[in-house]
Amino acid sequence: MSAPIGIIVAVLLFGIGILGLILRRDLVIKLLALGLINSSSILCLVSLDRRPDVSPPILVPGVEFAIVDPLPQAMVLSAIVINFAILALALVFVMRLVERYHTTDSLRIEHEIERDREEVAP
Amino acid sequence: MSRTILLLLLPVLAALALSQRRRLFAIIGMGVFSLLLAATYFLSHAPDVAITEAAIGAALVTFIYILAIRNTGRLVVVASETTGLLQRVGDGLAGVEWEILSALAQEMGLDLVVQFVPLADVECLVRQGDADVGAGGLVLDTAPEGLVCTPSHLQTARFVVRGPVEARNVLEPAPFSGHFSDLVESVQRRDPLSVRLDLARFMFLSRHGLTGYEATREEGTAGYTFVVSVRRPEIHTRLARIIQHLRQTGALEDSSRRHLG
Amino acid sequence: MIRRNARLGAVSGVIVAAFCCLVWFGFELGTERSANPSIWIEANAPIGATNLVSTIYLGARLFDTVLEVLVFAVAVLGVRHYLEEKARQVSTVETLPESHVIRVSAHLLLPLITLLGIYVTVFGHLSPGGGFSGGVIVASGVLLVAIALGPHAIGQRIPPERLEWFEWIALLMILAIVLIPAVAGDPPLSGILPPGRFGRLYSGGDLLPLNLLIGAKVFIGSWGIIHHFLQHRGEI
Repeated sequence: MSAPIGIIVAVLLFGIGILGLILRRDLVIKLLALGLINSSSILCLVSLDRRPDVSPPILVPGVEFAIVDPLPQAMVLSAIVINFAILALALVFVMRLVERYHTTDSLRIEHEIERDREEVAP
Repeated sequence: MSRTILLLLLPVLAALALSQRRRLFAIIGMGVFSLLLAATYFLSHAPDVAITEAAIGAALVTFIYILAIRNTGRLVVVASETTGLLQRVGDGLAGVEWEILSALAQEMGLDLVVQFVPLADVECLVRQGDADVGAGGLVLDTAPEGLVCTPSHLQTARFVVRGPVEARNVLEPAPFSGHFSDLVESVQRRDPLSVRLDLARFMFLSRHGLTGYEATREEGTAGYTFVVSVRRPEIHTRLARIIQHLRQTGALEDSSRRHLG
Repeated sequence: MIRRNARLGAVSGVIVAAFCCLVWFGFELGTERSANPSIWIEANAPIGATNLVSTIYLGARLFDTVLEVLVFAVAVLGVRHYLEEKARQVSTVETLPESHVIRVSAHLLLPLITLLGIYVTVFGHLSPGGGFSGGVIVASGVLLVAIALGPHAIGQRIPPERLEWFEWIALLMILAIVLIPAVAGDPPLSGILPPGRFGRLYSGGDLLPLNLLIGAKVFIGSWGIIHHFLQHRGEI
């Protein structure tokens, strides 16, 4: 068994994504960090099989060889496309939010929302 | 071996990309990260995932983000081209209104982008939100619905041009709309027309041969204004403040003398 | 800004690192039993496709794939709904298309990119690729031409309303392929087409039609998203 470097790096990327989500105030960069979290989960699943000397899961007629486990790859394949669609939807919401409050700063948007709420129901 | 190197490079790149100041650099950094990630998937014996990640992460996701932020840092002005106020000179622009708008863009830290449209479309486009400011020799008595007029930056007068004299034109004068270059061409062709103009356009026409046309000056004075949408009050206040500042320092008179004579 | 959130960020980072160490420990224990993918090779024998991954997500896990395509369609619907512009009174400002070089090269590249996308889709059961990748590749080719022509000209070339019909027809056909065995009395997930010879283009049972339909659906959905993003004059 070789070292689980794929899983460690995936976990590290997950941590970087979460830090980016918390520390950056710009909404667009928060979305980029969310995308990074998505990609890190997929990297973790793809790097699960750690046997040495395995080949991609494409069979060749008449030849026998050890293949890497194809199940995690099948699970994440459609996940990548769906992540893209959901990210686009999240970006649409961010665009609508920015049109309403004229800023991409999340702290300022929170203050404005608090102020609107106080005006409605003081 | 190369897979290990790529894997170790990924967190470094991600940290660099997410810590950028400008949004555009962060997006480009994440695009490069997606490409490296696709290479990593390939070296981890997952070619299906690699093709999908390369096509989506590097191309589509990056593009969606850039399309979303493409209007960052731009101040969009729609205008009707008017000599002396806002006109094309060689590769750039010049005029009294252009100097005011450049000062506004510089104060807001944005790039100025001017698009020339027929005069009748200016109000619609600003109201729809396609542009931030409407300019180009607009003379409006009252602010149209959904728009705000800035205080006038230059006095003007109204003229009616009718003619040609020999054709006995009895059409009602219509306010000028459309492109100014079309009007100049029809004057040169001696077409029958009857149009209401403002001072800058009238001066340009008279300098370039208005023989055969009858021009009368209308009563009263008016002023050129900019139009801004009601939903962008900060642009309106800044623009008003800049116009007042330029008027106080005398720069407004200076530039109007230079451009309009 | 950084200083104010540094404590929160540090605490969260420590928690996430601890969680990740636990996860890794679990994985360390888990991979003692090496994965044995020979069961997939045996499951593939009646189907006869070469790409094992496509055998899985279009064979044994077909229901997952269909529902994920549905999620994709709903996300595209959401994008379309929230970016719908109210009727415009006047034709929008004509944005200049790009320079001549870009226009010519985009029109030269579009057939090649489309060919690559269709190849990846059709041969999805034999070599890496499949419906998802192929649809996305064709969508990025059309995006290239859209950028070259300018955002409003492309809407006249490719009418979005008619494309939406094809999207839903493709989804219905996918559902038909999935549900016909159940209706006909066969056990579920046994395909409707007979498997061909192993490793040839005509093999894999109903993997090829499924790949084509998914490719069409993903292309139309992705192009719908991109089209609405292109037309929206955002304020960010």
